[in-house]
Amino acid sequence: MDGHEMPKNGSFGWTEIASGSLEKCKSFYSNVFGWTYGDGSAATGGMEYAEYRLGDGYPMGGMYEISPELCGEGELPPPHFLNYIIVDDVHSLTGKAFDLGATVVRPPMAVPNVGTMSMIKDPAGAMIAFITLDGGGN
Amino acid sequence: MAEFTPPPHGTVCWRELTAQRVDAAKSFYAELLGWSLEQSKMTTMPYTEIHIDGQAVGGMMKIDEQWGEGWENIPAHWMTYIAVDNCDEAVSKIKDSGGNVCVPPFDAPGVGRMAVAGDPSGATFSVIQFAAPTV
Repeated sequence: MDGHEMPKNGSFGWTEIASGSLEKCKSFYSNVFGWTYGDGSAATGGMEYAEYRLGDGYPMGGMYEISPELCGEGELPPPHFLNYIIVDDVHSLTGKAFDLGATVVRPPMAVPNVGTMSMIKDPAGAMIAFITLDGGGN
Repeated sequence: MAEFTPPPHGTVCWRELTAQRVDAAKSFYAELLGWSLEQSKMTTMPYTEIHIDGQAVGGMMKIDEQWGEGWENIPAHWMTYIAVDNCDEAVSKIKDSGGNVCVPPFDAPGVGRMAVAGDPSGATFSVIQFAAPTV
């Protein structure tokens, strides 16, 4: 990813598609939007994680197939999009979000080779994720 | 006035919070992330734009009784928009490629033409063809 501009702190920087069928969805998004895919499985312990992009641009997000391995025990979520906001310090920000009335759905957790992420439900009830990228962002 | 350049076809370009309790979300995100939130100048309907460093990157829209019966039960969510060159052609391609159309193409005056769709596994997103800027 060298040579590409990193997303700014506080901005939307990653859009993740939790898919019910990675095989069908990869060809679907390629057909409709012209996306190509890179291998992001270093972040998921070898589970397929398709980073999608246009041309040779910076990846706009990733796509994975919903499974107990990636989503944890319990009821699996329905297929959905999840937007990530890039932040400098996911730990303090998640704490502040809680103080401001959010529900912490997933406390900060390390994602190998990527950074640290958390997921909250905002006071309006919508899910959103925060991530601090390894290397500190900018 | 925030700048906005219509992005290339296939770009994830806009995020929109759609919720009943938009006011709670506005103060939350402004306080948490320092977002600047302003009524859109592109439309006369109530629509809050999210501005980061002078760039319009998303919006917030209130779900209210105008959404029709059952509006209270629509889950609050962040909708993802993907830019397309032609909304109607994109919708045909979505259908041909195994997706489904939740809301057929409609015009949002001053903004563009958009539709809500689902991928073959049911994840929901929107497509938007931006109107040519009228300065």
